[in-house]
Amino acid sequence: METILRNTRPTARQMYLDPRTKIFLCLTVSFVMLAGDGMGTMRYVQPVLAIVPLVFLLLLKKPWIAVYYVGMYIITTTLPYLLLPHLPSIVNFLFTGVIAVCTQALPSMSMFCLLILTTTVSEFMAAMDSLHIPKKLTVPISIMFRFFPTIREEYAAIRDAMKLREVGSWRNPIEMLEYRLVPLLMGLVSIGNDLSASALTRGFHAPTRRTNVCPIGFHWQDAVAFIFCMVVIVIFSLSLLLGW
Amino acid sequence: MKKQKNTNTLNGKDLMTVGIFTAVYLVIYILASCVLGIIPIVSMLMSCFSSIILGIPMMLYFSKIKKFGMVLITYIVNGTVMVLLGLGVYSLTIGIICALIAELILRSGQYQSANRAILAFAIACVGANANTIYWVTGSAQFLERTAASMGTDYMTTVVNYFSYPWVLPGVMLSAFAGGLLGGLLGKSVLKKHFIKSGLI
Repeated sequence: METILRNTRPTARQMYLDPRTKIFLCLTVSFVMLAGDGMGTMRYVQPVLAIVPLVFLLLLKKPWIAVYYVGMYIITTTLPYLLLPHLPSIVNFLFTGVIAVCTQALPSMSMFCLLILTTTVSEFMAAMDSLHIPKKLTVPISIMFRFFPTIREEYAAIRDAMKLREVGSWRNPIEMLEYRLVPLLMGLVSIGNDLSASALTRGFHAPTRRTNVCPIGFHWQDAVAFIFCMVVIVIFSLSLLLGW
Repeated sequence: MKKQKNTNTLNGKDLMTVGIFTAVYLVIYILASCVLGIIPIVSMLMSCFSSIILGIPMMLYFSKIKKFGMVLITYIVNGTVMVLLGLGVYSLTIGIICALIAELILRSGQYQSANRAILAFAIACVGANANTIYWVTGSAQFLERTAASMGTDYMTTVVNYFSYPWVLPGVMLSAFAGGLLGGLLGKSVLKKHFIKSGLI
């Protein structure tokens, strides 16, 4: 009988991968894109890494994010070369070059986006427990992820209320900041107090190990991802040491 | 309910507070970067503007801090997210050092002094915005590389880090100034709204 409790294999909702593999993949993309200078072998490795998030986006059937990603990538790779000859050097330094640097940051941003979209808080906590990350770090992070949707909801409500009373617009940014941020913070602090009372009564801070029914574990697809990361890291260190 | 023996260690409620304010911090920081980062020259002054906006929530957060380690956790989480986003490791490394200094400043005032909280926030801002180092050096590298491959016509655009030595210290200083301004703004907002309403 296939129930949610028996299901130990990650499905499309988890990007077919273990959370630890996803974090490792994310770190590999981020570090190699960041440290590689786009010379030698890295000229071919970096575009390959840029394709990784695209493959996952297509696998997860998110065509619009994929189109957006490709569009942004094309803009950041071509726009600086078009702008470069027409601008003074200080503007090039502070603006055009920064767009070019975005090319390196885009793939890792997309990987992080995928990591958040496909990992639930419970799976994340289970993965962090098995990596022996201290609870003092994982608890705030899990609360943080739990809070992002709440912030959005609260902000939407406050924005509507303030629009209705015609308080604060883009013409008066200081007033807008004050009359939107302050009620938002008030609301969030009291929600936070409720949340912590409810979590503490459910034994949230118990010293025992947390149990879960999440599909955590390594399968062949994780092995493929690990081998891919290892190959990329080896090529990267070779190009760094030998100057390929 | 059994009282905890050592009141200096972080308990569940403190970790909740850290999580909530870290979420607010990251949302505001990322939104401010997305909105302001698009405007050409403002993108380098972003660290200043985001620090001013962040002053309000962070002053409320700092006024709730009574134990060692909460600021540190916030900036470690912030740095880790920046590393995973591919925006450089400086936010994590320099951020931890600056957060430690901020913690010590807060502790020297027994977590009571508002002026020390403003100073601590300004120092923490410098650490949190440290990944501008990566943007500046990356930008200079890109320009050098392009100029080298395009020939002498483009030699006028050659820029290395030493052409504009004031940029990096300037950004750090603007982050510090933004932190101070944001702290003052946060303090006055705190007095105007939060103390009056009895929230703190």
